Amino acid sequence: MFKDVTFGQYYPSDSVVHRMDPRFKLVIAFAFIIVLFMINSFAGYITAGLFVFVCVAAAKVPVKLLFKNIKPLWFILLFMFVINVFFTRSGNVLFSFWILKITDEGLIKAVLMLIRIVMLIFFTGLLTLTTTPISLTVGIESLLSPLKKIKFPAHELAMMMTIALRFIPTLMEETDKIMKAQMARGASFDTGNLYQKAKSMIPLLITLFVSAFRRADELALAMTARCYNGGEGRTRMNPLKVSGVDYAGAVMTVLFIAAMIMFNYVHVI
Amino acid sequence: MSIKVENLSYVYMQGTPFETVAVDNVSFEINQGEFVAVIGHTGSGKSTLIQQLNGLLIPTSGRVEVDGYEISTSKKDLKEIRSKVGLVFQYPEYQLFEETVAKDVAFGPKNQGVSEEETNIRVKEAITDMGLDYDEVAEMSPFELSGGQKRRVAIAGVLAMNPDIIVFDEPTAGLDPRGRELLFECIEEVRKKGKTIILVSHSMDDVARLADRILVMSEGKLIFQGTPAEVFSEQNVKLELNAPQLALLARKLNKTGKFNIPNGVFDVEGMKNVILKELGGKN
Repeated sequence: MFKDVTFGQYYPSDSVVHRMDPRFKLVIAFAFIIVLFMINSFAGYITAGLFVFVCVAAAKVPVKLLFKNIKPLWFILLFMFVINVFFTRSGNVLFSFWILKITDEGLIKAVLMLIRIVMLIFFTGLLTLTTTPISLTVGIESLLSPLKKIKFPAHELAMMMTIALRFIPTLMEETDKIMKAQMARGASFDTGNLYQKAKSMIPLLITLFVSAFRRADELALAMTARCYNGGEGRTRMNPLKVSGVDYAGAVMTVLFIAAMIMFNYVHVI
Repeated sequence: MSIKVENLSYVYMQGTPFETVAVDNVSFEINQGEFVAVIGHTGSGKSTLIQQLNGLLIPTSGRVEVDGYEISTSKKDLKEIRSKVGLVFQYPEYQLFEETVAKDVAFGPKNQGVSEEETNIRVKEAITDMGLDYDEVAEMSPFELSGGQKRRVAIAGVLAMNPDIIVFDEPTAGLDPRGRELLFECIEEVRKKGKTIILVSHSMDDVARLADRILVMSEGKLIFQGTPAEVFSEQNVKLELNAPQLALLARKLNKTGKFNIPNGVFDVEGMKNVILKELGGKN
């Protein structure tokens, strides 16, 4: 039953975006999010849209996958839209009923907000679609490593994330197996009321905890046996390398940000 | 109590690019009291096949019939079938969770709705059948036991459900030689009580020695079935199975031209007698 679940959503492909250094991708995504919320002009929206479009096209990722990210958030999007529509009181009233009033300004504001959020989801989705979870953690570790000076455990944090990611499929497989084993002993996980359902989870949870601890123990031993003693002096098998693509991406982003700042002061449209 | 499997197929993740046919149009029958072994390389579909025998997996197509009950999504039928067909998974000790051994073994019968009294009788019998001392282990935590003991407690948990058919998936994986021997003795004992045994194993020596009949799986298909003597006969070398040691010995001895050992001797004692007879006849 868990065979159908894939964790993370990395979409394997060989595009320029896939080849980019994860650190650059993280910083660019971060910069994009900040800039996105500074937009206050129509030209800004068009430029940001263009930027997203160029990135998606360069990543060679099916657009269908990006839209899939929006699906679980439809309610929040709808909620924000409605709030913006009904709570904007300024502008010309287009429609009014009882205490509800829809103004042209409110409608435009709501639509623009929606576009902003969709672009945000698209762009962060693009980051996870084109970067494996492992290289994301490597990127985060590298970006956080200056904080090591103030005793921030950047390496430990990244290692924990890596191990957690690594064990998700393993634990899922294990859950599936133990569930089946208990079902073969007559357990059922989907009948009865809430209390019975919660109780039926005990044979699953205890065994999972036991096996998680056992695996953690074995892993710690295996890591120690191979001389792991923290991040001090540890080298990487595939060190992060900055290449031409990264500079190109950085230059593009800087130009984009410059344009956005300009639009904020000089109203072209 | 028989199992009838007809044109059974199972496909994982049907309709996606990851679609894989795990079991491909398999048909066979298993009769009451038979000891049937299922062999085949890793990934040949053995595990997928046996999980359909008690409805843990619902066949993609084809049918599985256990004593007149057909496996379908009907919850009532599934409960009935799971009571008739006990399934011992690989490394069953990982499914132990209760505070005491006795409570853990009682988990199955309790789910079946068996009375308290009957449960206690069954628990005691199952633990004893698995070669453990009931009085000693009953109140212990399952996590205090040794690996081999844990495994036998887990198997007792399936036996206590009183199934007519018991399916073992690699029951001796990871056990030491003594543990293996003990476990097979227990399985033999259970079999003598008239239970049907289905054993999935990679150990050709054990399979040849114990089974009445062997099903050979390869890439999801049932490519051969027959007695151990038939399966491990020289004509079947093309199946690329690792023959039992004694079958190899017989082949090598026969090749020298000095012996003529019949096919199908898979126990040490029997082989000793055959060889002595052959030698005696020559001298």
